[in-house]
Amino acid sequence: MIAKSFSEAIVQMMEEIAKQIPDIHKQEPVRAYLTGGGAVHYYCNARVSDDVDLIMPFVVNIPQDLFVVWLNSEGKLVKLRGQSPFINKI
Amino acid sequence: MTQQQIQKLLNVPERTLRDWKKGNRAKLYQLLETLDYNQAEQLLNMTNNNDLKKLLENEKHFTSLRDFEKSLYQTLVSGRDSSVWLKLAKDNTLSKEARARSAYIYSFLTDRLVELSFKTKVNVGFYHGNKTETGNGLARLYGLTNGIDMARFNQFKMTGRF
Repeated sequence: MIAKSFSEAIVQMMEEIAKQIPDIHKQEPVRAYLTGGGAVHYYCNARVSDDVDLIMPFVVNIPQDLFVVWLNSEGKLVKLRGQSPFINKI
Repeated sequence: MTQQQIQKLLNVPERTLRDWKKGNRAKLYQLLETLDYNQAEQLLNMTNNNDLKKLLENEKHFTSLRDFEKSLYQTLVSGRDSSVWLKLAKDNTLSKEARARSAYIYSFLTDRLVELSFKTKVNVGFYHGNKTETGNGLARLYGLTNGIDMARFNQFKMTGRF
């Protein structure tokens, strides 16, 4: 199913990232902290970014070209990208 | 083109061609003579979209990724109307894989969504020999495992080769 909003696209992005975690490593819930434009969107409902900044307690191997698409109110496809190069550990 | 080439390309009998040459179609014959065989073949393919169908059904027509990419990128930058890809995505005579690829190209060029008449995931690469699964969300939308290699496409657009 294609995401119909920016928030749905963020959830889909999280699902895509979750797929990258091998089952053997899923021994406890993996927390992901949403920061940047994506987090701002949840507070003010405005789209201020094209990428998702996440902080995770583990290193996750994310494909460099990872992006999901969502359909905006004008019927156009918009890309939402993951921020893969930065590995933040808590 | 020579008479033989015209005959081969248009599938017209030799006698008819001779009639054209000497009769009231002399100008048409002259025009055909001035055309280059390869270019004329290319133009003919463009009218029935056979060149695009070859790219979409790449399992049957390409054995090398490099040849496929070269043809694809040339087509994408040729200024052809994007709506043709939408038409091909709905063409029932094409395979599901080809229709999914066509829908992907249409969305890639226009940012518009195509609703395919089938729901099954085709689960093939944009090029049949490319089995690598990438994070390309647009390709995934149509059940493809990967899409256009943007780095190589950009290089082609900038330099005309890769």
